[in-house]
Amino acid sequence: MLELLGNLSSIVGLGITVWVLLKVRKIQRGYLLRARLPALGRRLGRHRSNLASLLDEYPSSAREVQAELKKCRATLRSLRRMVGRALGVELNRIERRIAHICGLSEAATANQIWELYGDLGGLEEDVRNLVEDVEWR
Amino acid sequence: MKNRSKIVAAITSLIRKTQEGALQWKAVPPTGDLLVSTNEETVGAVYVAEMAGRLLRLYSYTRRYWADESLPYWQEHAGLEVSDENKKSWWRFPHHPATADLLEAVRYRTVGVDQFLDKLAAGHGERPENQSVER
Repeated sequence: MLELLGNLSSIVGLGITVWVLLKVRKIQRGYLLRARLPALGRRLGRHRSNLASLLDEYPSSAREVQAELKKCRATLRSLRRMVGRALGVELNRIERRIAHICGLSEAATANQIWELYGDLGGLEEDVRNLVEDVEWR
Repeated sequence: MKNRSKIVAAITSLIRKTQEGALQWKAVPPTGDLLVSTNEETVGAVYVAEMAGRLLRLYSYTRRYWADESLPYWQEHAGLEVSDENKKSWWRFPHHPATADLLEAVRYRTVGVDQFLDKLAAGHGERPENQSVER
């Protein structure tokens, strides 16, 4: 009887440990979202804005555009760790598009960069909505 | 937002047209509802352009926010509106940060930054050597 009680206690203890672990992870993620997400959203906005300025002189600014896209890709990777699946799919799509543009042997067309600019504008809005959601959680 | 992608695409297209010179903006004084300034919001520069028989109105406005109860700060935003066919009533685009890029592109063009920089580079902005500085 005592042995059975001991086994049951162990199983319940394990369950509580797992539950606490999950809760701690959730709290940790919540803090991370509150602290980092707004800053990454702003950084994404700066990349978009810089891209618009550089497009004014495109294609002579092609090298600067490439550099900006690489920085933007790093920001997207940081964001990827914080967003859910739905937004993650969109983020991956944009990241693939940037990788494609950066991998081209010749300078990308202005159309391609403008399309990317539009995508970043949409994504920035999604991130902003997520920041607002997080504030209410 | 249902039309979000359309809105972003429209603003993107306006920036592109402005940068390429296909859309001409001119600075105008604020009129109508834009004349009303409050303690919370003031309107700055206003620019208009005509496109497809409608007027586009782009303006900067500064809004007051509160960091805490006693610490206000001001932040500049950009507003974009399109008129009806009679050019009498306006529809305001939902706020999107890309509108600030449009405002930046329009300011760059209307102020004539390029021409000014070219003049500076060519030495037109320099003071003649024998001219003294009045103090």
